[in-house]
Amino acid sequence: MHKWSVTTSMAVLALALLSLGAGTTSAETWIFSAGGALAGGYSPFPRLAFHATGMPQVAVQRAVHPDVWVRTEVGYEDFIGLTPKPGIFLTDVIYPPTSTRESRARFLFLAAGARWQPAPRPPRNAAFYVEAMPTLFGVMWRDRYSYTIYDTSGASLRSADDDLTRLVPGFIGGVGLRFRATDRWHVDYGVRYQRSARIKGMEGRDLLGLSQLALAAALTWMP
Amino acid sequence: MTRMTALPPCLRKRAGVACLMLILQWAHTLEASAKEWTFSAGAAIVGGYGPLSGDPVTITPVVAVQHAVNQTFWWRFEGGYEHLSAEGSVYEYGLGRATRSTRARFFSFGAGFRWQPGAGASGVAPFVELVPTAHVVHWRDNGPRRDEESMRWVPGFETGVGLRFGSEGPVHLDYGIRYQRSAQFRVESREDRLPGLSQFGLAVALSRAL
Repeated sequence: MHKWSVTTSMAVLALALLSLGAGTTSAETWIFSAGGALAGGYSPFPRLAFHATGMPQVAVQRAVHPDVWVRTEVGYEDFIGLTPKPGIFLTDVIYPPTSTRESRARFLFLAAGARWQPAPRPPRNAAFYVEAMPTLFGVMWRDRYSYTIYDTSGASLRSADDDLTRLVPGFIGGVGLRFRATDRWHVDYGVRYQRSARIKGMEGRDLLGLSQLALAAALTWMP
Repeated sequence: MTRMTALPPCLRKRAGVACLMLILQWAHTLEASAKEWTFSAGAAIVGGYGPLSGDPVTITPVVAVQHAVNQTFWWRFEGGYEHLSAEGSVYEYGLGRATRSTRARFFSFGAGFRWQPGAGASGVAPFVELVPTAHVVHWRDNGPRRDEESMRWVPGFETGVGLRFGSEGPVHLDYGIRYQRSAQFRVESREDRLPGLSQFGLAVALSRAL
């Protein structure tokens, strides 16, 4: 594993433990949230991409200062069906016309970091937040690619299958608004950017990392 | 009234005060509840839908009911309808030119929230809303070799920002932009999924406190 991958992994795990660890803090300093995001597509190769997808996520926050929180988040993304990027023709990316391809990329991530988030108070009942979280992405990639080649000896069916599971570092950054419904229930709404490192593939065929903008919302509860 | 006149004067006075207080309390409750619920009806001009390029834009009627949780936060329940169609001639082997018409209808139902502070003296206030939705899609494709009709439901959401005009009165005008999106869906005659809605729109609505 790369040096900074190890560093990021250690940072994520340390922050996650810090935010989840038992402490002397009172119940008001915890926030639990569940929500989802509409995340942009994922392009594992320069000319092919998956469409945008939904991303469920849950998070726990713990106050370390009235306006600063340590946040740990778990989320999941599932991409199915590679298609050529806009402006690229099928024949440019898939050499034989009789080919079929079934691809799936799944990302499970653990993010831990900080969020600056003043409490939303009346009369506006809304406040900005900014967050930054080093992230570990668990990647499960499956690619079934079969095609027919025609030559002087006739037609022959070839296939190329990839199955891999990797752990890659990355980060998530976001800004948004927190709206207060009641003292205990709030709604978060904002945009975020998430990025991961390149994913080392088999036989040198690396996959590009995630690089996504997402529109995220969550319902939060303060016990 | 007979009973009232039968009461001693001191009790009559107290009963009168109690009735007056009850009426005032009832009026106050009515006023409070009127501020807690609003009904709105309007429409949005939204962009077209990829698989049906016949309509570059379409008009979507939208109705909504909102319930205030506090001065700025409202639960929002919304329903909408969208009709898209395309008609044209296609070439079918063995049949020559033939007419093919395709139609999609999207019914959306959602529950979400709207943040909307009071307008104050200026009479203008911003709003932000997010409504997770369920879309019921009715798809019909009539062609020379195919006559298909299917109904699916898919999840989605609607989000928007805008301005509310109107200060103290019960009637307000909402004006803003919205984006609505639904997941892909499958129809029987096709192996691949049809893309979902992904549309920006310009929305206007009249709302009234109930």
